[in-house]
Amino acid sequence: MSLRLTAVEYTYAAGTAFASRALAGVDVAFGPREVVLVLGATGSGKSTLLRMAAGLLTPGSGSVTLDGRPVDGPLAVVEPGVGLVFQSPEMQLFAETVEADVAFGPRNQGLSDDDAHRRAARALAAVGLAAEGFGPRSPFSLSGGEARRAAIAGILAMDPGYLLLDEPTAGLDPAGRRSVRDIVEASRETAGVVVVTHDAEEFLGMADRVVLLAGGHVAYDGSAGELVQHPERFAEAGLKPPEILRAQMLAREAGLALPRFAMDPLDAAALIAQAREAAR
Amino acid sequence: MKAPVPFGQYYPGDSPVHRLEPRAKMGLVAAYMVMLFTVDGFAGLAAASAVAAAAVALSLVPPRLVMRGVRAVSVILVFTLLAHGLRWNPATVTLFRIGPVGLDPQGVMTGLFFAARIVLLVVGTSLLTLTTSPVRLADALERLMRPLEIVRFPAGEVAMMLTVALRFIPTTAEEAEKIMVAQVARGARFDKGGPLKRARAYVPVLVPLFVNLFRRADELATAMEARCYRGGTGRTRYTESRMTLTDQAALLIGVFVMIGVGMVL
Repeated sequence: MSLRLTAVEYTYAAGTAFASRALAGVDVAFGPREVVLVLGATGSGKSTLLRMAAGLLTPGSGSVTLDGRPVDGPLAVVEPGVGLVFQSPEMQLFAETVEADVAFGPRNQGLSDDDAHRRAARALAAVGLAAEGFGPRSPFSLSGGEARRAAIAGILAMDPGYLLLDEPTAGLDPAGRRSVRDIVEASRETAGVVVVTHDAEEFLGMADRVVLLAGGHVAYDGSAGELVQHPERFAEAGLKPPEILRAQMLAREAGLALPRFAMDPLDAAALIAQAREAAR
Repeated sequence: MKAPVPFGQYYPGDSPVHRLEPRAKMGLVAAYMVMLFTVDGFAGLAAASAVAAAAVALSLVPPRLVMRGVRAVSVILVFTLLAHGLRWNPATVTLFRIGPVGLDPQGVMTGLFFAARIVLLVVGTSLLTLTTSPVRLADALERLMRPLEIVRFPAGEVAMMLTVALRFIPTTAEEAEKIMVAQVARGARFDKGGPLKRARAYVPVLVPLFVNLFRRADELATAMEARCYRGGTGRTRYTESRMTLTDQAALLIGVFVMIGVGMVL
């Protein structure tokens, strides 16, 4: 049971003067109820990978399968659905009310009005926007963070088996970023979650697995825990390690014998303190 | 999955046609159009075809790209042919008849003449936009409009509007494509049902697109004011395109030859 991309390749504007290869022979699989973080520098192919995983792009070569079945179109309305939250998804809000907008997806899935609105109310509650208060409002009257959550609710309302999020915290204030992290954490109970981001620090703590993309290739695919112990892998993919790991790398370079790296700031502080104590 | 929303057709290159000053190119295209509309026989069209073929060859633009514009007007071409070729109860010789409708050979020839004229027109104007970036085209238009400032025509403002509009067309097309894909990810279909259903399917694309456009226009206006923009009069350009001797010679010879062909053939 997985959403699997096998040896996928994709070139934008193939055969023209503007041809640009985004993915070159990528193998990756996403399992149910796991949180996978896809990291990579700009142009590494992260967003292309997500679009392909959602059935919105057909690979130039290679294949995409959902639970063993080949994918040949958008996966929003199949079972188990694959929901893709685009970067700045608030840009896609269009209906007169938040509730009608969130119910747009379930309606496209063929649900009755009542069922669609029940799903919308549940999804709005899941993202912390009570349907009673926010449901009748115009989506254009929401703040940036609220609009982002409403847009994510529009995907959650479709009950996806896999939830793919492209830079979900980009442009949000700290409170908005925290609420998106909470949504991701809660969604893993019912769906496989794939988060594409530039900001590893934001999600590394909750990820089961990390895929590092570099120049359209997979540079690393393994557990988040192992990656934390080998922060040099970030540089290999053209990325800076998270600040908390860089601090510990500097401590090691300064001669402190840290037994391991930690993502939790308090844990990291304790490790550095212990190492300093031992050095004395 | 649908292809991205198509926009523009500038084909970057360094051919002699690309390097030609945009005003010279516009002048040549104007002369080419005069030639097309003054020739009154197939010999004239053959001469115009030779000019077009030479320009396409010189531009190094793949001919299939040039012909893409012709595909877009294929309905007009068929209509032109039929409008001239079909006769109701023809008394003269017909190629074939179905009931009272017949295909008249004389009419077909006239239709072919006008259809060929449309094809050559599209080829010429396509070559202009294929070999000149939109921004250079807008600059050239501004330069051509400058003399009108004497009669208080706001050439600077019009040019700025044109430049901003051209600058944002690809951005808007990209945004439209993003919104379309995002709605497809929510199960929207744009290829199902009759014309009315298809038109309604675009509401979830057009509403956010226009909301974002108005928001961006407002932000852009504020940002321009914040950088002291107060209208186009007296503004200078960072890069001024200049007509070289080669441009002037190409323009003069081209205009002379094409107008001459138009008058003779």
